[in-house]
Amino acid sequence: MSSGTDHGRKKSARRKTGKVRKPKKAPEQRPERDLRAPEAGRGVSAELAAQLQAQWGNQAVASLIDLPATKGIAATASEAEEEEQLQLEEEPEQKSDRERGQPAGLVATKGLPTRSGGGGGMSAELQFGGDDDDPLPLPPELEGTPLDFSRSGWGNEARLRIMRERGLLSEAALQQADAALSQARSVGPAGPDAARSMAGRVEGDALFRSPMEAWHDPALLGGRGCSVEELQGLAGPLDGLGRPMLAGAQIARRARSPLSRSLGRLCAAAPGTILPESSGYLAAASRLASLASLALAAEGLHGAALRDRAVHVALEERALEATVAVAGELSETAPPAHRLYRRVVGEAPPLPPGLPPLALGQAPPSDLARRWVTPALSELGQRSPLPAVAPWSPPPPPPIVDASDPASLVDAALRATAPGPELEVEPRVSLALLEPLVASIDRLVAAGGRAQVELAAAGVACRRPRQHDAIIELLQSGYRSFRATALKLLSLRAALVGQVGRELPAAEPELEAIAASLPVLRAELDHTRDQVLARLTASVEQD
Amino acid sequence: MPPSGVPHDRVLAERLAELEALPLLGRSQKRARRLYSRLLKRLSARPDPSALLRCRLCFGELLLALDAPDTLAHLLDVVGSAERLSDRPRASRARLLAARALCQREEISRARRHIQRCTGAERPSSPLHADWLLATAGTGGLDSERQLDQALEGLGPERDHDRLAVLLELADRREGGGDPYRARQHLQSALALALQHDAHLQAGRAGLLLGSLLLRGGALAAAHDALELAWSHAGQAQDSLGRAAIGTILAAMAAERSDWPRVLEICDGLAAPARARRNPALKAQLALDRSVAWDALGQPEKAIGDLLLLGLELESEGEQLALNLLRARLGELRLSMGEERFGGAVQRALAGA
Repeated sequence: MSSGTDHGRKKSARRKTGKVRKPKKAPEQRPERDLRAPEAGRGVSAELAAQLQAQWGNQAVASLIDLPATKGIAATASEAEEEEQLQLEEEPEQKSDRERGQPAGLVATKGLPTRSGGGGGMSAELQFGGDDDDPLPLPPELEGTPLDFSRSGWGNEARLRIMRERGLLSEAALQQADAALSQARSVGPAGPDAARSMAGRVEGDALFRSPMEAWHDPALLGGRGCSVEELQGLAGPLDGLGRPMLAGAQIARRARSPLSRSLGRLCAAAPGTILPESSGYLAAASRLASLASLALAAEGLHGAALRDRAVHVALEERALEATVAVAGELSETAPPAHRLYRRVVGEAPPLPPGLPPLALGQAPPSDLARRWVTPALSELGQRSPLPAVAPWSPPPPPPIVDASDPASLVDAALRATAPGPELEVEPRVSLALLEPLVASIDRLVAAGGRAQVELAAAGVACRRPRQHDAIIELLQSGYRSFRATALKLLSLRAALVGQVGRELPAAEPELEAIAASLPVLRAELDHTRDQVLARLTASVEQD
Repeated sequence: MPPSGVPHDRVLAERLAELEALPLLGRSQKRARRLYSRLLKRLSARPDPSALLRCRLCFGELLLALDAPDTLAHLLDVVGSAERLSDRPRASRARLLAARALCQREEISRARRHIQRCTGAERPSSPLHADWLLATAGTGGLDSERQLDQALEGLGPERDHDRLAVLLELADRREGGGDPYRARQHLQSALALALQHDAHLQAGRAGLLLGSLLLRGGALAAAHDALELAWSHAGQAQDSLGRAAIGTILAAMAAERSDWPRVLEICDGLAAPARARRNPALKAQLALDRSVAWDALGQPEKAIGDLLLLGLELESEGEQLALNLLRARLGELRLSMGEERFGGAVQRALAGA
């Protein structure tokens, strides 16, 4: 038990940090041990149920059992009707519950038999507040894709309103909560995170979100088995079980500590022993995610958030898919990376007030980011090395006639009398002769275009609203460099073709100079690509 | 207090020498901590900066062995003190230890700079050669595996903590290099070393690594034994991370044998680590394993009760993703039990039936 001074200090610290927590009630009203340390298999007593209601709201218990997975069975009204009913009845229902002092779980829930006998009613999730915010409008190409923004709100609107009505929060705390909710509304993907940070509880292993990011829809998770046949083909990052497996593989490749790597390998291998059929798909998914999060934790506190983001970035496989699809649509105009990025991501929601846009400077990424993020971005784009440049190889000189060698004299005589094109006194530059160099230039130009798509995909994978503008600028500057190099390559190509028909000895110095400049331009392309990748890596680190 | 007639300085010198010779594992580590705090108090009051430096260097090594957050700052401070005293060997040793701390923090370039300043340590005849090998291997060069092998040969018994760390690292490299047999040998040696020193934390971790390796290799019985041993040591060491990982695997193995009472027992043991670590996935796993076990034992009310209770906890923490798994599980139970039976079970769970 902490002393009163400790308690006071914690309270004042909380006030300073602006973290909003649920108000504590007197211990006799809500003994904490009952809530925090449930014993295995112990039921929930009526007394505890009453306390749960007081703490969590009227329908919190029911919200857990009012499941999307079983909507077909229990639903009595369409979602639209429920929504309407919610708007009409939410307030009175909550008030009347409070007035009646009805314990949790006893009020009507959708389709569930209750003590009070009411069978109908609205979704508990909605009644409590639930997903009370509409999802942000998405650009058409994002609809239904994994690049989809998460919904904001998560029931906190209603919770905050009740707390405000009851006067449970100070003015400062209310302002903080309002700001956090406003951020949750405007910053799509960070919705749940914002709610979690509002609760001041994003700490410990809760920081590691990447292995769990495929658990957005209970309806897609439930009712699945864990047999070998059912698990086949679930290796994708969008599957509840496949995602922690892939996260484990990423951790096993990048982690330093033997424990992290071992746990990562175990997740990636997912031997049948840790995925027993008898415990089912859900337990298996949670088990692998536990192991993956513990593997991340075993790497230590330093850079923990960055490692989690790196795994998240590495699992954004659909970023490349979406970018390539858009590039295919726009292939006739050869779109630069920043345009591809903008098409895939769409317009970013406005930044919350007080949050400046991220400025990506020239600061190099840390070793930690280079170890975790750069390879993730590279692998995402399946970055292949730039094509090699063919060296200039002049044609072999004509054979020398050795007057003392009869065989050589016979060969020379035969060549002279043989039917066919007349031997040229001086060889000339032909297109066939230049073909290796021209092909090298064409391959380099194509590789530059491919790199643009890959970098745009990498940008998509690590985009967040705050980075949106910075990434566009970064890709634009990369595009300018790529374009400059490509123009140089194309002018060299034109110069090469212009040499066709000239006498070889006269053209050779020029051809050699062109051939010598190709590796330099290749290095330029590589440098640009590395620079953009390094700054994208830094952007993940700076966020 | 020194015995009567023995000069105070001599006792201090003996204690300091003892501190320097202690391996930082298990019992010896506890002794080292006690010795350090006593010596620091006495040495700070005496005008003997050299002895104080030796004492602080030992403490830096202890911090490194514990992977403590202040390790780097302390070691760099020791480097500064040693340089002020023109004590080059200790400055170099502190630098090499700092380089290892930097490698743990993934600051490889900085680590390399410190290593480069320890001239002479790369020579096999140097007393700092083992430290140099460990620091250099930490930077992850191509030669690191050979360096670790060499370091293992040069470590005396007073460096058993380093020996254990090297064995774990080498086991990992061997496994990565496709030699699980040697990896297993290294892990068994590491486990034996930890047990020899009563180092529960390290025994738990080594047992976990061994169990994980054996499990992946299909040696289930041996893996189970190693993990059970590790479970007990991790519990004694109050190692929440180790216990969480070991318990997760053991619960799965018990579920595969349909040993549901054991599953419930392990889940009880996992409750504390799950809360201490604030791990939502682990909490969800706990609730799901319990629910499957209670369901298999014919007590779905308890299954539902556990899911509801842990679900509320996750809901209060804003852990919607983990909560979704529990909701899906409740949906499965609802479908399998039927509406009426499920509703009744929920009522009974809520009523504490």
